[in-house]
Parts: sequence; structure tokens; C-alpha cells
Amino acid sequence: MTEQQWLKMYRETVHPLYGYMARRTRGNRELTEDIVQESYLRALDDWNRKSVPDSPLAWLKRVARNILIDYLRQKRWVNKENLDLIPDSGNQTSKDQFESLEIFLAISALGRKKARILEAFYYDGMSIREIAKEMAISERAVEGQLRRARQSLKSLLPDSRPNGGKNE
Amino acid sequence: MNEIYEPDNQFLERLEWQLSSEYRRASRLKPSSRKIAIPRRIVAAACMVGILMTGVAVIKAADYIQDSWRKKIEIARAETEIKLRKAHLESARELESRAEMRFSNGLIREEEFRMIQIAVKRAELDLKKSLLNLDEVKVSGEVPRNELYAPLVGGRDFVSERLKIEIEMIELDSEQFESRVKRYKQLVEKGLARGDELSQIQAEIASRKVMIDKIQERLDLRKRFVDGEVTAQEVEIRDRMTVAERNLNLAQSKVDSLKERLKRLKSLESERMINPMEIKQMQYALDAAQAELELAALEMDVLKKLK
Repeated sequence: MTEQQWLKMYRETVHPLYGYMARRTRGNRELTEDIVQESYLRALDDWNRKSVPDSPLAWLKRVARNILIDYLRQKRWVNKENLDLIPDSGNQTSKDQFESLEIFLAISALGRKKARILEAFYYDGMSIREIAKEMAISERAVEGQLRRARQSLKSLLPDSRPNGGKNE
Repeated sequence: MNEIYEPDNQFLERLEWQLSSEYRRASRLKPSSRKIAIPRRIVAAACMVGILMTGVAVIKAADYIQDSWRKKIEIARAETEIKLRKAHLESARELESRAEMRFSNGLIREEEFRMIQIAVKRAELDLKKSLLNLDEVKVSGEVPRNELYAPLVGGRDFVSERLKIEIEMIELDSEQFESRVKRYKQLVEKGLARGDELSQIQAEIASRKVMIDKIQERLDLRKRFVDGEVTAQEVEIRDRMTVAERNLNLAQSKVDSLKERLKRLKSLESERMINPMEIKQMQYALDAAQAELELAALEMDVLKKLK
């Protein structure tokens, strides 16, 4: 991989990757930038040692997601009661962000299939039809899986959450 | 699209610059990363070459170890032989010193003392030959070679050196026979021994002279090979011819000697002085010697055609 190929790949993937991560951090700019930056640095190291994957964006998304989950898990247990752990961003309060990130962490704790369908619907803004097409299943099946995933998520979220789960 | 989900330009520019710098740094620190650009076919070929080279290296190492062990074994064998030769020489010398006293006291004949002296010389030559073999093994790591077309070892012509020792050995044999001739002549003169016995010893001496001549021819041939005048193949044929010729001469000499003895026995038989069985035995011996002669002649013919 030459420097030109590397930068071309970066320019092609940075916008979708940033959007993917920003939706999961509920627009927390600083956290999103850190994770995007770290994802590219890991990509450079990994791809130089091995080879460029078939789908660089998919690889980057997977790594970015894992970085976010690791980050949240660590912060959650170290600063459980500190609502300022996530810096302020845009028009959202730290409290809202924490709640959203708590939900994201709970989603990531679900099974892979449930997490995928919930993230696609709630974070990536995909319609039932789009998800059905991507997962190669019927729309009814998507609705059923989405319903079951929501129930699973609900059981994971504690009532002690800042808003008691009312926004869900 | 909500702009909070879009990166700002400042971040994009900063990240691009950082990734570009990181790329160059990684390239400097990890030149091996270039291998990504190498076509897989070339990488596969290089791997194959690597595997083959490793295989060859392993085989070479195994050969080296094997050769090293072989060399150690051959050296040990040569050293053991030298120890035995030295012990034999010491014993011969001891015997010689005792025999010298007995000879000066008139307890043994001169011929007997002479025989012991020759035995000492033979032991010395045996030791000399063993030391020569050890020198060769130490350089070549292999069993000493005696073919006339064998290469020089460490620039030294061990083949010629061994042939010269062989000549010295045969000369000792001749010396031994000559001392017996001297004694037999006296015995024949006194009527205590038969003339045919004397002629048999003289035939042995003649055959030793032939052997020395043939070895000398081999030495000349060896020299011509070392000087590059003849090829290994020519040397092999000529050497075989020399050996065949020697065998032919020896067989001829044996036949002549046996014929002479048979003639004498027959004359004695007419005078009824011997057992007829002795004539039969002599006839058998003559037939065998003639068969050997024919075989040697046949071999000579074959080699001449090859030449």
C-alpha cells in the first residue's frame, strides 16, 4: 500500500466512519474524533503487517465500535456516578449522552444478531425494508427480531437509569 | 443529515496530515512493509526457494556431520593401526637385539639373523605406510585411495609414496630369497638339497624383479597422470594392462619352473627314485599354472582391444 493509496482510502472512508461513530456516541464530537483517529492508526499498523482487507470501511467500523465499547466499559466501572465523564457536545447535555451511551453499551452486551438489528434501526436510521434487504430476510422477520431485541434490551437496562428508561 | 454526525474540516485536515506522517514514519521504521507490494507469485517463488535452500542446508549439515564422523572413524582406525605397527616394531627390535647376541655367540646362523633383521625392516616399512595413511586421512577424511587416477590430497601424492614403499617391501623379499639362494647353493654343492629347490627360489627372485619393474611402470604412469599427460580412463586401462602383464609374466615363470621340475621328476621316476604320485601332483600343478597363464593372456587381449 503506497502513501497515495492510504490517503485515498482515508478520504473515501472518513465521512461514513465518522457518521457511524457519531451516531453511537450521540454526537459527542471529541469522543468520536478520538475513536476515528485511533481506528485509522490501528488500521495503518495492522494493514502494514498483514494486508488491506477487502472492505476497509467495514473493518474500520468494527474496530471503532470495539474501541467505543471498551472505552465505555472502562469508564462505566471507574466513574459510575460521574455524569461528566463524557464532555459536553453540541446541543446535548452530558446527562443525555451518558444515557445514550449506557444504552449503546447495553445493546453491545446483547447477542450479535440483536445488537446488529437494533443499531441499524436506531443508530444508522435504516428502515425495516433496508434492514430486510441487507440481512436477506423478510420485513416481518425484521419486525419480529426487532421486537425481541427491544425486549432483551429492556431487561438489561436498570430502572435506576437517570430517566428511568422513559425515553425508550 | 444532522451536522453533528459530520466531521469538521479542521479535524479532517489534521487527521489526514497525522495519518500521512504516521504512514511515512511506519515506512521508515518497517521497510519490510514494502512486501505488500510484491506480487504473491514472487513471494510464493521466494518461499519455495527459501524452503529448498533450507532443505539443502539441512542435507549439507547432515552430510557435514556424517563426513565429520566418518573422518573421525577413519582417523581412529589409522591411529589404532599405527599403535599396532609400533608394538610390532618394538617386538621385532627386541627379537633382533636378542638374535644379535645369539648370532655373536654362534648360536644361530647368519641367514637366520639376516631374516630377523629383514623382519625389523619390514615392520618399519609397515609403520611408515600406516603413518602415510594417517596423514592422508587427516587431510581427505576418507579411506586412502590407491588408484593411479586418484587425485592429489592436499597437494601430496600419497599414491606414489605408497608405491615406493611397496617397492621397498619387495626388495626386502628379494633380499630374503637371495640369502636363501646363497645357503641352498652350499647345500646343493654338498648334496644336501635338490637343484630344483634352488631353481624355485631363483624363480621367486626373478618374479620379484618383474614385480618391481611393473610397480616402477605404474609410478611412471602415475606421474604422467599427475602431470596431466594422460586421462583417468587411459590410466585405468594402462594400469590394468600393467597388472595383467605382470600376472602373465608370473604365470609364465611359474609354468616354466613347474615344467622344469616335472621334467626332473620324470627322470627320477625312470630311475624309480620317487613315488609316481609326486609326478601326478606336479602335473596337476602345471595344468593349473597353464590355466592361469591362458587366463592372463586372455585378459591382456581384452585390454589391448580396449586400448
